[in-house]
Amino acid sequence: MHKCLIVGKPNVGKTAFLLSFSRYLGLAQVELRVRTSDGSIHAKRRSIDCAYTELVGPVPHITQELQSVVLELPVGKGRRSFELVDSSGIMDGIHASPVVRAAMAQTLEAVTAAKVIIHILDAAAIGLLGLSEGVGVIDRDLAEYAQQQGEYFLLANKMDLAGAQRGLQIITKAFTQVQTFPVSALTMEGFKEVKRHVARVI
Amino acid sequence: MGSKFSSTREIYQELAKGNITAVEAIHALKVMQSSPANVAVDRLESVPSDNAKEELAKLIGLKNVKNLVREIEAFAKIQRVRQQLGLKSESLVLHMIFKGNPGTGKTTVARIFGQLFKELEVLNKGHVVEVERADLVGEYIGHTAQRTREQVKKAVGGILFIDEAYSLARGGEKDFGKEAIDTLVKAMEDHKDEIILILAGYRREMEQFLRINPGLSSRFPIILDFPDYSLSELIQIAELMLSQREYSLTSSAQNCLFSLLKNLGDNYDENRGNARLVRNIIERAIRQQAVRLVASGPLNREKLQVITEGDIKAATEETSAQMFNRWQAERR
Ligand SMILES: Nc1nc2c(ncn2[C@@H]2O[C@H](COP(=O)(O)OP(=O)(O)OP(=O)(O)O)[C@@H](O)[C@H]2O)c(=O)[nH]1
Ligand SMILES: [Mg+2]
Repeated sequence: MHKCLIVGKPNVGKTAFLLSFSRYLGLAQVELRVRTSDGSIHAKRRSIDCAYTELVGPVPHITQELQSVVLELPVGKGRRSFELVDSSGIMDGIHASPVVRAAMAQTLEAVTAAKVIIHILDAAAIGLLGLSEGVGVIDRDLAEYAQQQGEYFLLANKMDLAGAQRGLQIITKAFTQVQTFPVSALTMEGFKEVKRHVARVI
Repeated sequence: MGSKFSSTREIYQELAKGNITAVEAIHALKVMQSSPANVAVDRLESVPSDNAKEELAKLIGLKNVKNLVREIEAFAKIQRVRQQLGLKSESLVLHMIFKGNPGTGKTTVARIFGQLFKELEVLNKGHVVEVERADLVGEYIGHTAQRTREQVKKAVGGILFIDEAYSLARGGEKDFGKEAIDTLVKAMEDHKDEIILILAGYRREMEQFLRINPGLSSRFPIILDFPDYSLSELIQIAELMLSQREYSLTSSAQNCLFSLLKNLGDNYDENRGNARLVRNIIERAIRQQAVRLVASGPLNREKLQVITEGDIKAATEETSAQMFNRWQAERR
């Protein structure tokens, strides 16, 4: 089964996208497969509403493991299932918490193994902060590394917020070579295009 | 070109420890990716190559082994130059003890060492003769010495690798094993620069063996420890094996494999961190899947790729039965 890995800085909306996209594809419930950085695996079943409350929030580093959902998409005449994997946010510098550091290492390990990578940027924050502050070294380096692994594209998230348009312009200028989809995990705008693209690459 | 890190694993570990930042880690990964020797994860996978150091770089972990190789390489070079300039040169004593559980890479490393020492011109053939008690110990007085000498002769120019070496001391005073040890010690003197002897086995038993034979341990200046694989490394090995063969596990199969490996590790000490066991389970599961598919309805791409919980269970039932048999046999 194909795996699509979601990566990005903390708080850009990776988990929100995972759940929202699952809902968009028709699910009301998800079976989340959780893999902690020490390698243990467990599963939990939640309604998407519950999962959203539990796993999405305004502070960084909420997600500290890999968590995935198996989804299905129509491909050609049939349907194909794939695993959408959410990861813990990557940031530069040395984080004080060993748990966060182990989680980041786990994310990089997953990037190394991934064939399809979805890199999420917070367009609203980038619009607010501008190019040099908003798009960090980490995003550029991650982009460069992830592109070598296989299929790779960007989501400019939080397009529902003010300033996100300006953020999108900055993103497309900074990453000229990369396909970028403007989306909102909140309103599901742009999901149709993402769905079509994912179906092409899995 | 040169990376500070010996494997991708090490990069993740340094990031987790807080010694490097994520940006530094990504840079290191990029460097590593551009040198293909480092991509393989499974240190049991032994792909023939004419460069022993490349082989060694493919193994995960084993930092101590890699460091040792660097030292030996430097030493061998310097001694050669000293010789050329007419200075006194030390001869290298490279007899070794390998301590560790089965499936942690001891035999693989011995083979790589054979090749490496040939490249370094420490040995002229670099082959490895693998023996165990039964190959050395004979049935009557004198027979053992004769058999042991035969094996030594075969190993001249290469490595004599004795697995579970402590079994030579098993029978106590009257046992012929003692004769084998004495013959080996003599052979080490007679063929000083022509043979490298490696004694291998479980950690605890090796230590005890050396304690009982103090004369031996002084002849083995190099002692290498082979740590067990962690649970997450074992899972990675399984996943790598599967993806290389274009198979994948369902989520319930994944859970099943995880709890199984955890269980085996908790209950059978010797199986903890054993990559060979993982390999056996995966290979059997692949065969079980085939058996299941042949008996089932129409096939498709997806069906052909998926390994189910049932496949893993069937594969491991066989393994636990085998393990039980071995355990019984050993008790007898
Ligand atoms: N307005 C708006 N808010 C969003 C959108 N996507 C996510 N958010 C908010 O952004 C915050 C972070 O979302 P998460 O999904 O937890 O972010 P994450 O990337 O998973 O963060 P970590 O797990 O900490 O790395 C939450 O408060 C979300 O409600 C969006 O499209 N629009
Ligand atoms: Mg998250």
